[in-house]
Amino acid sequence: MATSNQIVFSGTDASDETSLLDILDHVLNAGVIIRGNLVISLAGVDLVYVGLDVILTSIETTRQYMQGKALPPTKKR
Amino acid sequence: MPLLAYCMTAAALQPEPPFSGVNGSPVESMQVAGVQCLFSQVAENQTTGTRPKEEALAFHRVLQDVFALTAILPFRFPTIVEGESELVAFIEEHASEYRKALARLRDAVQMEIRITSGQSETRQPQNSGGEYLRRRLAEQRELETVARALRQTSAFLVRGWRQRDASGALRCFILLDRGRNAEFQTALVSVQISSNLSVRVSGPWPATEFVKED
Repeated sequence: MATSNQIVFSGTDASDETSLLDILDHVLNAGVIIRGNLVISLAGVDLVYVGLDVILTSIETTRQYMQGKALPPTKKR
Repeated sequence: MPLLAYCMTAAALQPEPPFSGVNGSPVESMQVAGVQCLFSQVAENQTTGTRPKEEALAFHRVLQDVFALTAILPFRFPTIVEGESELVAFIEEHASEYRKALARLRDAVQMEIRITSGQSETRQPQNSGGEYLRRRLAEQRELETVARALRQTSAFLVRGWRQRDASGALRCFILLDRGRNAEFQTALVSVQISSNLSVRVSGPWPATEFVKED
């Protein structure tokens, strides 16, 4: 990863954690959609269907966290 | 047998490289309505999603290898269809749109600029909703000012520019001619960036943000 001034340049290989997040963001969030569910096997038995939006929210939140930004405040009751 | 779809290209890759896909499955291709589609078979007893990160990276590597040769329209990971007939039916339905996009983006790549404000790190307690909104507006204007400067300095290279807000950041997607990303990066360096902002440039990516025309 190269930097200049405050500009950081990165490629499309998973050479560091932020590049990895970029890649995951692109493969999960960009492109043609037919269906948007991920099938996860737990203990080789149960299948859990995780909506893709759940994963995307997680990546966006992680990215903000890595950039040192505050996590969204929880709702006060 | 279920199929994992990778991407579409305008024509068959010649010679067809020996790609290995997710979970080591060989990558196959088929021609559908003038579009070449790359996919791999998913064994009935093979569950995709047990190692999501590794599988997503293997998926990305296939896209990268094909994108190095030609323009692609990627499927989102993981796009798994029940069988060839489902994939064929989907592509046939949209083939005209995909053929046009692949022709238009044949020699193009997409770069991405993410401009983020660091002000939230030193955020002071807010006295009122109005103050909060004024601060957010000022941040947004600052991000847009930087985006405008980056766009102006690289205008001689840029074929297309789209941008959208993303959780306190501004994401800019830039369409360039293939092979000009180094020039693009060099052009951006001349822009002065305020110390409270961070700017990340990544790419080249497939031009997914430009599949639909303006």
